[in-house]
Amino acid sequence: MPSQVGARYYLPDIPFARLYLSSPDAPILISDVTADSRVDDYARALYGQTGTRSTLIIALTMQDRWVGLLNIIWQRPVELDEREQRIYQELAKHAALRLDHSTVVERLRGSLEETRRQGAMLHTILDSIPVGVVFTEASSGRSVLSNPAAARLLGRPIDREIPIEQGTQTYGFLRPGSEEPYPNEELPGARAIRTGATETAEFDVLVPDHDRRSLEGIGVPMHDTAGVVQNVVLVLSDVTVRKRAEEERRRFQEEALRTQAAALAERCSPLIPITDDILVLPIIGSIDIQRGHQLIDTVLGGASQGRARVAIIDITGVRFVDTQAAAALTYAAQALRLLGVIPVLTGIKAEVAQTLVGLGIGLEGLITRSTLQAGIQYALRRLGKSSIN
Amino acid sequence: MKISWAQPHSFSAEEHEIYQILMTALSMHLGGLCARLRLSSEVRDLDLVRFITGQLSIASTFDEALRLLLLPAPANDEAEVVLCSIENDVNG
Repeated sequence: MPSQVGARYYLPDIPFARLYLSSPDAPILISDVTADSRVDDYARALYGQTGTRSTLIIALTMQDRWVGLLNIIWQRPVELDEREQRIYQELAKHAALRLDHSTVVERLRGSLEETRRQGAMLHTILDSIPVGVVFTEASSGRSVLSNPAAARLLGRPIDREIPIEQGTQTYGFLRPGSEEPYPNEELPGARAIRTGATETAEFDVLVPDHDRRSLEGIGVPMHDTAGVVQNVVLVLSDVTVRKRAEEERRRFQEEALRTQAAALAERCSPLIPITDDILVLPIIGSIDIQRGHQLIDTVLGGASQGRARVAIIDITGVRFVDTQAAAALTYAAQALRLLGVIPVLTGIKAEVAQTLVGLGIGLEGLITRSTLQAGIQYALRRLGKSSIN
Repeated sequence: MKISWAQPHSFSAEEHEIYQILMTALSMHLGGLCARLRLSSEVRDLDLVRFITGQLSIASTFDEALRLLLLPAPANDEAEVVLCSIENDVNG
């Protein structure tokens, strides 16, 4: 017979099961297992191995449900008189109750242990996670549970006596980037209680060392079966670094937009007709391939549409001229000449001249003047005019 | 009840009547005695059951409960007791 406590067996696998189950209402006494016809050969052999000669089997039932078996065994033949059978029949009910009670207690104990284990795990998680968690009772608005991260983020311990409606007065919540107090009713926890939906908000908090912290709060409502909000879990996370990064990114984008706008403005080279037949194209900035083409288009377009006879390209505002820029200027000059327009290049700085010489670029065929003024004077003289008017 | 005489004895009418009355009285007495014996035996059994069930309900260990369940057994000092619980499997 199994002797260890807690061992579990599948009932149909037990050789005596048929015998056990044959009499759920009355105790079975087998006075001599070696002679009783109810014991089959296999069971008899097993009884023989354990030295069992006599056995009393009592089914334990409760409300027509099997809850267990009570088995008493002797190593010699034993007879049970009517009185003893009656007593055991009566005791079987109480033994069943006791067994059922113990089973339920064991099950509850196991369940409690599991709940404790899960609780401990939950506490470990809550204590370890870097986000703040505040569990608030909806009816009172008071927090009933919070983790250390929540106190750390808010810069002070969570006061369980303070209702959510006094959050701003207690913890000093401010509107993001402002000194204006954050309205209590707009706090995500309060909104989640009110709306029954998950609510998110960003706010700032002044922690005791006068450091300003940006927090993101998510209020998650927990409903009962009727859909009424019973509790709210408020999840707090520090978004200061993220907000600063976002601010930096925004500044960077603005700066980039400004730079782009400046570059664009720089690239717009207006064609200025100073007389009916003299055009001036002042260029500011740098000249790459794309801009070189743009300049050629501008100056040729202007020259071909009007009655221009002299086109002055002024590069006073050009910081640097390379092979590509020189090629573009040379190309523009040749094209102008083909249109019957005299090209004049003005404003070549000393360093630009040095670069051109260094690159072996001579700008052949181009009339050059040091300044725009000299270029205009040349154009006027060339056209037989004494002044612009 | 049996009464014997060494000599032949003839029953008078009075004697016959007396024994008739005595028989009824004795029968009643004997019946009462038997009932009392049966009753006291039942009471003893009930007391035992009540004691065991009372102790079962406060027994803090299974060993204690098993020892209690052995009390009414014959030759209980030689007996072993096994208590098994039956749980339903997933199929019921």
